[in-house]
Amino acid sequence: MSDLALVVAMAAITYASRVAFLVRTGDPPGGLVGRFLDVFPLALFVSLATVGLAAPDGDLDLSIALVAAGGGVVGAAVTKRSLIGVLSFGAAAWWAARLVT
Amino acid sequence: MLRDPSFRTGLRDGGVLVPAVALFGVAFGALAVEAGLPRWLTVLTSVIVVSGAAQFALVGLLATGAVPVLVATTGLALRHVPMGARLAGMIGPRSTALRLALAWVLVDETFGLTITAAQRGVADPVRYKAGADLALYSMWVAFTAVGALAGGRVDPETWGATVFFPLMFLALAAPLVRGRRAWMVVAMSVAAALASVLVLPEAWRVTGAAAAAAAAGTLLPPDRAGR
Repeated sequence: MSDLALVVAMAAITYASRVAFLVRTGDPPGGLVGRFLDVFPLALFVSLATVGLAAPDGDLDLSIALVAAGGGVVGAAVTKRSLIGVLSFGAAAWWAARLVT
Repeated sequence: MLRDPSFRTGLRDGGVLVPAVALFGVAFGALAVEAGLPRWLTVLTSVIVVSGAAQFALVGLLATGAVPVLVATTGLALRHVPMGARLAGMIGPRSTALRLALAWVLVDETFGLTITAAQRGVADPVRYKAGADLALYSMWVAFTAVGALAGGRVDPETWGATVFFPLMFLALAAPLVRGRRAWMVVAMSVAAALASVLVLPEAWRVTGAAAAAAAAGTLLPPDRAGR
């Protein structure tokens, strides 16, 4: 398979997963499915953050990335969970830890 | 559309995330060219795949052949299924053409922004998402091109590319943590993510951890506030 064909296949898989339920019209699902969809975004973002911070290179690694996470949590508390507050405090903590280590 | 308040708010909120997306775009562009992808194909990948995680998997697995790349892509893509279902429930009676267009940039970042904005009561979540999509998609493609042109002359890791992206997801999660059930979902997600690092292949970790934590969260009783 050529590199171009591989990229097109990746795009097809990714787009199919995105469009599968987005084209569905009608009422939002209720019951267990509805509750699953309610909590899924939070579970997704916490999982993305945890995997990215705890295993930045694939293996579990207690690095200064965790200092950034601490900074982000402080930023969330101080700035009433604002997006820019979490990013700024987390980035500042990371840069400070890099200077120290 | 450009004067619509929801669109402009989405554009502005998406702009906050541009530095992290730019760093990742440059990193992808540089690494893809180093891995042997032609520059034009590197940029085309960002145009048509629009998935940072899948694109980095491509770079890492390119030498191993097509099957591992497509298996990894599938693992990473599966999380879009519930994302699409959640978004479908929010956007109301919209045309199929519009839904097909919205799916093109259904990415973690603008999905998170849209969910949070809908909770804040933004007037039109669809236009809001279009604004955020425009900000992030255009920068993702543009900075991929910058990285592809610069090649090995840049090292985004020294600027914190590996840290800013997870921080961005922490920032997207923060506004969603309201009530006891949400805190329990956070705890379960952290535990599931750490366990996934130990037992799952890299490309399946986030999808696996998020699905497991959300499934467990589904079984929790709602708070008194109904959350």
